Amino acid sequence: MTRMLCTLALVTLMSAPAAEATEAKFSLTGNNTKVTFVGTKPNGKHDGGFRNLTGMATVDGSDVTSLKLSVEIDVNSIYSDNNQLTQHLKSGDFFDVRKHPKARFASTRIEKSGEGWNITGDLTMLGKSRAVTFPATIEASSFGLKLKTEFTINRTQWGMTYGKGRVDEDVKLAVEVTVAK
Amino acid sequence: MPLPPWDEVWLAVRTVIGPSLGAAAGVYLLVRLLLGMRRAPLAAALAVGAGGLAGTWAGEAMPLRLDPEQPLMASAWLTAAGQSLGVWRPAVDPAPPLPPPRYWLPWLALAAVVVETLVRWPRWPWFGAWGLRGLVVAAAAVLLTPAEQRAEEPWLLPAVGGVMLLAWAIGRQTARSWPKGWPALLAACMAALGAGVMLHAHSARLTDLLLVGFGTLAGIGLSARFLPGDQGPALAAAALWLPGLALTAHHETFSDVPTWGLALVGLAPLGLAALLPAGFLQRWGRVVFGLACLAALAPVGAALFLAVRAVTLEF
Repeated sequence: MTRMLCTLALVTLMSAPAAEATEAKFSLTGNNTKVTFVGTKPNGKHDGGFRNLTGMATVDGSDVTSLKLSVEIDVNSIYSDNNQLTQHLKSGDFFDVRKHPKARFASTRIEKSGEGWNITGDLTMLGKSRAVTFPATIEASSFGLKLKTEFTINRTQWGMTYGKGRVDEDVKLAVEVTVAK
Repeated sequence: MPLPPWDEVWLAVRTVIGPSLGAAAGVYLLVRLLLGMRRAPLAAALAVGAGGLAGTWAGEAMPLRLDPEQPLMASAWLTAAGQSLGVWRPAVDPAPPLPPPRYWLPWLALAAVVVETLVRWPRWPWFGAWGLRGLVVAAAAVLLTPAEQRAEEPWLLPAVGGVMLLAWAIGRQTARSWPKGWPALLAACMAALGAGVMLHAHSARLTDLLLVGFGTLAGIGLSARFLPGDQGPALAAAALWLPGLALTAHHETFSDVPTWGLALVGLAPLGLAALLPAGFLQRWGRVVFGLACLAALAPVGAALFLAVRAVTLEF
């Protein structure tokens, strides 16, 4: 009997550290997650971003490779440094918001790369899904998540083909997440 | 109304208006010279094709491929057309995405041009000719109106079809009565004024597409001043082009241009009805004829006025 009780206590003690590494979930919104872009043309550039989004980030303790990101962006919340440009971006020339009101990103893999990390995931815009990989700095724990990244995409891969010669195809995206429990 | 910067204007002239006007005029004059006045409709038809392709080549305002990364396959095109028309549903789930309604515009304009050229052969019975025209217009109305819009506004489908068919009939009649190019030139002016409306609606693509229409119709109209002929196929294309683009602007653009402004662009080809009393106008001289032309352009001129009043452009 005593032996059995000791064995039970030992098993309980050994499983206790594993119980501490629970999955932490962080709700992502436009308040804690900033998505901005810079579009360029031969004689200038324009800044903008998306105000509204919803999503979830889950991570096992401080294991960054376990981080899973899922974000849905309200494309109609797009803004820019020029009101006319904002309305132009919403039109069929670019985002075609009435037909495609949402853009999505879901991460599939996170790997260590030098001093930072590489995030790979599927970015869906205008009904087309393409895999993207970009570098990021990430600090994750059960109590909070900080993520910062800047990368470039070619908008024509998602069917945003209009404006050849007038608007550059490459667009710089920046994402910053700061969320705490 | 502030004008666009000169380099933007020059870019539009160099890449859109110039190529479409030059190609349309060149092809019309060549075919008309070689084949004579009886084949003027064929000359106009080929000129529309040449002008349309030349005008969109540089700016790619009118992609013909369903997927920019894949070559256009007939089977894929037929599948997309059948799905968009609601004729069949794909067996795979999820279904492949449908192209935007504006994708079908050049194909529909081509169908209108082909039909209007073919029915000019002698011995076509009138019900056969109008039956073909009706089929093209019915397909256009379905393809250019998104399914959600058809559900919300069920009157839109017959209204769009009715406007297109009426504009087609008016264009056909005026093309025969005025062989020296006036209907095509007026339609070109309508397209140019409509492009001004689209500029205020913040759509560069739709602006370009109307400028392609302007260049093509102007090329045909100007050429017909020297080598007169029936430009009916060109006006058949215009009868679908302007209403189709106005409808596209209604569901694709975000601006303060009122819906009525866009609707007037779509109704613009009906303005050619001012040229229907050809005998009367030709008898009463230039002043009366000029007033008729102004009357023809009045609806689309009103559309531009509404757009300029609603939106102040900044360049």
